[in-house]
Amino acid sequence: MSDIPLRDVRLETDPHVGFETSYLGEGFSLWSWLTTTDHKRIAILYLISTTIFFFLGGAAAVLIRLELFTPQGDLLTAEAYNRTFTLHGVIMVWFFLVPVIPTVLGNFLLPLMIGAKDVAFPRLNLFSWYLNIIGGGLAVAAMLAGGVDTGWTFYTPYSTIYSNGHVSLTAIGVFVAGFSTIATGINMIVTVHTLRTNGMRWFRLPLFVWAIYATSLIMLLSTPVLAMVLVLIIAERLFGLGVFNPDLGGDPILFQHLFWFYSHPAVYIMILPGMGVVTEVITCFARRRVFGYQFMVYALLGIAVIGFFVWGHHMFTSGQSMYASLAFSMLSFLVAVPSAIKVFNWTATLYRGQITWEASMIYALGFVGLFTMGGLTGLFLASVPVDIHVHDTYFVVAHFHYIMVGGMVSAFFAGLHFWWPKITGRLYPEFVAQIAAGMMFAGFNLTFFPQFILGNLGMPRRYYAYPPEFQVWHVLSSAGAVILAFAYLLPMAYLLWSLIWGKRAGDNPWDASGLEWQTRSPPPKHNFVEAPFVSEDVYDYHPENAPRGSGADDRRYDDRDIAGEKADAAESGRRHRAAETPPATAQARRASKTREPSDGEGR
Amino acid sequence: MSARPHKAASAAEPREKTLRAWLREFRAELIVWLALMLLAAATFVLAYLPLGPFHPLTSMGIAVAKALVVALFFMHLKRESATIRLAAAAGLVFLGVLFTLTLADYLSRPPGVELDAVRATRAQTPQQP
Amino acid sequence: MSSTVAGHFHDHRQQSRANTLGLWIFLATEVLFFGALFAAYLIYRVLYPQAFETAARETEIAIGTLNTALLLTSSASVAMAVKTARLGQRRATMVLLGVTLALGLGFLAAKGFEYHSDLTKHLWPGSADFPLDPPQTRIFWALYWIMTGIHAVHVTAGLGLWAVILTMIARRSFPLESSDKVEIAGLYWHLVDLVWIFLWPILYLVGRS
Repeated sequence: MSDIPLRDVRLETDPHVGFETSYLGEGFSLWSWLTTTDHKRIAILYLISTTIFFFLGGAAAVLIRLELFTPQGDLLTAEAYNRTFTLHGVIMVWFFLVPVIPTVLGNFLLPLMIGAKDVAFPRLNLFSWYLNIIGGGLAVAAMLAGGVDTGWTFYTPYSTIYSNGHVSLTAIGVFVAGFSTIATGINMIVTVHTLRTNGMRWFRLPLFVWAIYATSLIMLLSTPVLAMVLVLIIAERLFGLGVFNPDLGGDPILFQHLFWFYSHPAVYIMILPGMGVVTEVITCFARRRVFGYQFMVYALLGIAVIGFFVWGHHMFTSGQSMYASLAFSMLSFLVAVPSAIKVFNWTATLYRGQITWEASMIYALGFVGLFTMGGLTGLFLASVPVDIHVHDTYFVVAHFHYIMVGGMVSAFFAGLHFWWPKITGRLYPEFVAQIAAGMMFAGFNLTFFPQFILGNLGMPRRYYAYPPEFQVWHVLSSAGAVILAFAYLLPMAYLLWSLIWGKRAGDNPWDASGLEWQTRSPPPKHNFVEAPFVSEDVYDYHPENAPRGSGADDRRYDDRDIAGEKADAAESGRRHRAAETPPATAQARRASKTREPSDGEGR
Repeated sequence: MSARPHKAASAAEPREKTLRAWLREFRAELIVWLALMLLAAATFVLAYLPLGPFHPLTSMGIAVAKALVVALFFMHLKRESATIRLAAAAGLVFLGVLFTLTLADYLSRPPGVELDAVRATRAQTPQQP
Repeated sequence: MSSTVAGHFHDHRQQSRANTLGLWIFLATEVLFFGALFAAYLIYRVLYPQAFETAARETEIAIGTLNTALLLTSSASVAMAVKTARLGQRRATMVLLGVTLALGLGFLAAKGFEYHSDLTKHLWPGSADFPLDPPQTRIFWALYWIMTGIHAVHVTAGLGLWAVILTMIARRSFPLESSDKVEIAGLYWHLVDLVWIFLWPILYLVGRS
């Protein structure tokens, strides 16, 4: 990357730089950040807050794994252990996994990807961050005040009648955070509907946008039910309005129905955005158009919709009618169809691609493998007889961690690395990042694969002590957790390092397609100097066998050369791209996507 | 919406408008309001008639009719775009999913394990707040 | 917000479309929010039909019915206000919104009397001297308090919204014809009405024959 001097030359000649500073330069005071309505700055706020929550939840996970290192309960009491895993679950689910990709990457990228200046309701966007912080603050306060021992699921009647933890305060925290989620969902959907730039048709939307759209649908349709269930718990605890109280004829299973009506779709809130990220990364680093774009869209929407029909598979052993269990079991198998379509299409996208191994690609490929593992074990759990065998064992724990951590967290790191140059304008150190990505994959599998075996052997979840014959697997798992912890700390270190010492990234360091790469890095306040115009289909990567473009550096020259002639080409509806030489073609298409190619460079 | 120069007239001297003119202006709203009140009165009367098992049907049927009237005429769903009608329908459709699949559980619980019977024996103690 | 187009919108039409769609999506979430309560009610009504009839007989049907009339009428006055606002008839809009406010306050006042009367009859399911039997009647009353309580919170929020808008119109802080404020708040108000349209028969009209 010898482009640093070149870039500086450009900075001086670019007529826009003088008055169009980047969004980061809009203000440096804390106040300017806390009152910003710029979607990019709000994304940064969310990045900071979700990172804090992630390390908080991670610290609880470390405590759990330390406790389980030995069969006896030597580090934590049973009581403290219950509170620790509840803290881990509540923080990770509601304050990290659910918001992280939609609010950080989605907030930052969705308007850029559709060529908008901002989200539809910028003030609502900021408000949602405050709600998230208030909710998180309440939940953390409850944890500090003594904690909750119900597990993140708040099952009644334990949570309403027996638990002496701070259930109400935690529930209020989650309730508030739920409205933050709803606000984000409304914003994303309305933005996609109303703010697409000229030529950005529905089937030209990047799949990341589709993923966020599908996720927002789930958020909007399921979160209100969770909110009401939490209200019912609070009403029962604080006011004695016992809707689920068995002494009055109330049915705790009804609580589970309502809770899982939210919480199963919420699982898809936690995985669909990851799928979107991974699609962008894989198509870029395989230099191949996404295989079966339309099917990918339908699969996303299919998962979102079918996800609402399957919640009963969490309740096979609860006392639910067995006929309902069978129906839910069959419906659950249906979700595998769109999920499998996605896995097959990622694989087919890789086929004959010119694959390079940037860190985000390693994370993304890790995602595909781990998601497949998690998804397939999900099928075991969806079939009633197997589920009855492994219900509430470490098999379930391993299964959903493969999806949540192996899937979603990997995808988040993939996306964070992939768009880090766009967000900050700096490149992260590639080699260290590749090592971190490899470590995360290895550490993850070492942590959670033994848990499948443990679960199958009969180790129940949520116990702080266990028979000694399980110890070898628990020790393996805890050892993996140490590697995993390092693999999470390492990116934090080098990403922060890159903010100051990282190389300047250039506008499009990966030579990727998509509108977000056509504006500057970091983007100016209103994203684009000129509203972009889209005349090409999405994922405009090299045709087969073309050599890979060599990066941002020489493209700048290309753009300058091509800009003039391509302005004409854009008008005369070019359909003869096969005739041109591949690298030039890629540039030409990219240039033709903006009316003013490359911010008016070369004019 | 009539083409008369409402703005100038009403902003300056609104009292000049006769009652008749106002009635004409709000004809649609008044008709809808009247319909709603009649429907409400009908539910009220039906609730006191000995209809047995048909009570839930009639009262819910009328409630749905009233809701439709409000949504179509007061909320102008009738002339909104397809996207907005879809948004309005989405909430109801997924609410239907919640109702249907939850009911599917309760209606297919095996007989014999009567929740009522089990609970009646231990139901005498009021809940501890 | 509506008088001038915010910077990230192209034009007024786009902004208005976004506002309307955003509000309708919010209403869909409200439907599911209340829907969870209706689902709980439905299940328990199916499980315990006798107890629910016994319990519902104790609600204050006169006040409930009066409140139905008040809310339906307020919906009509809002619909008229939306019409006059669009024509820029400032005085008429203010009068109609004032009527709406009065009706809404009337609703809350009646609700207050009703709650008072319920409490003097010890119809609070957590209290030791709850007068009804079997115990499932307490579930009905728990749902009654939660449903009407949350609905009343929505009414209060709507009244606050109307008060703010009325003040703004009085101060001429936005141009009436080109703004969608009244319309947006109106949609919310109609939803509050819609919820009541369903609460009234299931809480007040059960077990009356």
